[in-house]
Amino acid sequence: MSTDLRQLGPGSRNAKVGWKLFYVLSFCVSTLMSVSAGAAESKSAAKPKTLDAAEVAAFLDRYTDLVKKNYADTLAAAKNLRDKIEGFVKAPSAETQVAAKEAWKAARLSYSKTEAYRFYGGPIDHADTGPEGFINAWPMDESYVDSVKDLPKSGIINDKQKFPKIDKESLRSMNEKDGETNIATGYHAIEFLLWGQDLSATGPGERSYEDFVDGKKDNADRRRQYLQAVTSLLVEDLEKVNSAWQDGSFPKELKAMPPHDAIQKVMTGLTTLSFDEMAGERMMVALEKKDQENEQDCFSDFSLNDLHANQLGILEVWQAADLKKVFLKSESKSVAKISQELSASEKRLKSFTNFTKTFDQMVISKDKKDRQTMEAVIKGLHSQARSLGQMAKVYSLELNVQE
Amino acid sequence: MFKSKQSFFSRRPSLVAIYLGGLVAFLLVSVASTSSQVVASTSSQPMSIANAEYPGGQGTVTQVGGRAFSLPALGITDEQHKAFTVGNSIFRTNWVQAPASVTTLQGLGPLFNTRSCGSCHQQDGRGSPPRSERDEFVGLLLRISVPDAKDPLRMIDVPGYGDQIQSQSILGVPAEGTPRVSYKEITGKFSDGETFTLLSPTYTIENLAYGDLPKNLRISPRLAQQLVGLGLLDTIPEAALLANADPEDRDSNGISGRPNWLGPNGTAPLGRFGWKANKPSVLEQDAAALLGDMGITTPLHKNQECREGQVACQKAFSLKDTEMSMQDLLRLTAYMKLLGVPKRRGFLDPEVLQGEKVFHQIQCNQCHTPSFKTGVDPEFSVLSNQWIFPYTDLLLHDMGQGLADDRPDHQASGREWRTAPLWGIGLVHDVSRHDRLLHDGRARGVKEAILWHDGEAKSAKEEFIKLPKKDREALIKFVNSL
Repeated sequence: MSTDLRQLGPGSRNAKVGWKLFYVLSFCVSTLMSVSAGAAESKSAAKPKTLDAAEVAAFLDRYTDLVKKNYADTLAAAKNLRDKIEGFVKAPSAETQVAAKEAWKAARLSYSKTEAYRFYGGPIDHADTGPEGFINAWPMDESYVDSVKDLPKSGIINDKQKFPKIDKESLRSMNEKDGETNIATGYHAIEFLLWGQDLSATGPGERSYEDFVDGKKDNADRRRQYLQAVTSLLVEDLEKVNSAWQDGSFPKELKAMPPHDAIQKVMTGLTTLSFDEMAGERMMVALEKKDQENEQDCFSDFSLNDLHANQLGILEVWQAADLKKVFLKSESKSVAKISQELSASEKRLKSFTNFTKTFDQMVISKDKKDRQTMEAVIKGLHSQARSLGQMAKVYSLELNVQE
Repeated sequence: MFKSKQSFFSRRPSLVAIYLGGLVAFLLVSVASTSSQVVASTSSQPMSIANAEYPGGQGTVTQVGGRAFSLPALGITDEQHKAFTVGNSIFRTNWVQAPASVTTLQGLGPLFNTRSCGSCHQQDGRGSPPRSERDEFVGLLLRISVPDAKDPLRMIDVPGYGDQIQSQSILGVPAEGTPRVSYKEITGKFSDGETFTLLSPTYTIENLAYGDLPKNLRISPRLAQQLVGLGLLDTIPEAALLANADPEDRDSNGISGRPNWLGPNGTAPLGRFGWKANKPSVLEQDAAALLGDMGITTPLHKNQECREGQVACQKAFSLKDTEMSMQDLLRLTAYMKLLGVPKRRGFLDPEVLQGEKVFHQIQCNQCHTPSFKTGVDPEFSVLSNQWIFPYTDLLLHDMGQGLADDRPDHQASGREWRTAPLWGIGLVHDVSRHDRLLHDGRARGVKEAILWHDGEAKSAKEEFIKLPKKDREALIKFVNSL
């Protein structure tokens, strides 16, 4: 009978009767299944729980306040970076370069926290208008921007013919034009220009400030123009995201949604960041390929600090904006478990940043312990995402977390 | 639960009769087999029963926006997730010319179309045709061939060029040429008087580096496709596909459905992937694209294809080993096979349900077969025994002269194309920020894509033209809900 069913199912075009019979059978079978499955599961979770609308509304207010504050901080830090880069470009020296690098680190830490508000089509990565691709695209093919070892003439900066003008508009049009990694803008482009290629096994890139001094290196003027333009672009893009939150247009949209949908969005941001991004793209790939260049901040060796800030961003949504309160009454056990896991991950990542080794050194390290340390962090990030996903399921929230 | 019933029951008032009939049938099923093929899981979320809202079966993901095509199918193991994640990085990262300091990503070219998989399939989505006549081709390439002088029905590679125009190259090697497209507008009318405009493309190739092209050159433009659900399509049992084949049109409904057999003289393997179903598996599709589009050798294709007269290409530096290892090729393939199909949107929207009715009424389902059950994938259980809703039969159909490339490909004629899967089509805009469809992206959205249908799909297209506007819009809304 089962074989007959398959032949008569929708895969078969020739047997029109099959369609109807298939529908009828499937419907009845599934109806009966749900009755019996329901009976079997009634001890644990018979029906999906519903979210308390008032709790959700109160949370969304707190969430909005948090996001507004963090984007405002991020914008301010980016503006400070722009100022320091102006100073560096006007008078390139070892000192002004260090000041610009420090400003970059502060700006990066601030931004990393806000990555907890990604992955759900909000202002940062809205399908049509989100500037995330301009702000943070990675990985980066540095030879697309400037010369690298063995390719002294490569990159936009050194190609006057093809790219006669370097300004905000021309850079914008080039980013992601021909390949996801042809990244001409954003934090990592600035990072590359400040630090340079990381050719050192022990430290970050060692670009000299003289790369920006006329007469010391070819196209120093164009390098300065690039750095200035790319930093102004970053500020512009962050202004766009920031204002969508500050003027209330996006928060209004979020609050107008059914509570289920709004919470699903917020939580998808948290689980995607921890499972797919932090554990996956940012750690596992580097670990599996043992490739020193495969880290987020591969020029500055700042990746561990990014990761820690990412986790702080997640934790803030859970604790400061008190997402946990939405679930506390009906899922207190899960809430306790998640609180514990989030803090544990944060501590692990915190101790990570105090290490004498940088991310890339750990990736290529022959010391088994280094690998185990990284694997423990990955496991913790997986685990926190899974716990969030499992609790969400009780409310039929779908977060795309691997079980 | 199984929600497709909604559209069915909306046409069937006699619920009681159906319930009773179904009950009897259910009892028969239970008696005949305790391990029923229909029900395989009792978990609370999408089960291994047919549920059209979850077109990718239990691995279906819930995601819209730019990442809609980029998530792994749900329910893979940790090890598989590792392979997926690394495969994703291989997919996205640019290759560089060898020798280079980046040891795992060197060997681009000598001739190529692009530097990474992700540059054409941006965010795992569909390529876009050039925006203007002078724009470079990214995500759209030209396959070429020429009729064999001895046997004009047989296509062979073009001397000096091969079977595709590689428009880029490493330093010191001339690129083959620069493809260009121009569009002419064609207008037409629906029965209710509303007009429409289609773009009809003409392709040319400039800056030829290796001599003139033959006068009887055949050009077939191919747009990079979106990648969700490839592993599931790979796992549909061959017999299930062949069951829909009707090469001689024995049922005289004007629709053939021909398998593209890729072996010598029309033998196995069966083609499933590519616009003309000219690749039998995801693995082979990957290896061929790596070599043809990026100039990356793999254990499946160990040598570059520098053609006669391409001296600089032949002399270019080459590594001792293949440029991509088998391990990385398998990771890349795992990645592509495991990209999850997005859940449908607006599944119970009345207009969508009406559109679904129209879809069947004008018989789009004759080729866009809604559903299959996959067989067993020995490696990935998430692909196995799933009821999926790809809306394709993976067979070749004559689509008329308007879409013809006049370039036969294995057993596919110059007028035949493989039925394109429709799942995920409504998210193309979210992912790729454009809505260009069909094999060369000439159609601006679903409406124009339908209007290009001809040949075996002529009657469906004509029915579409006759539909009241409300039904046309409902149909489009349904397709975009997939």
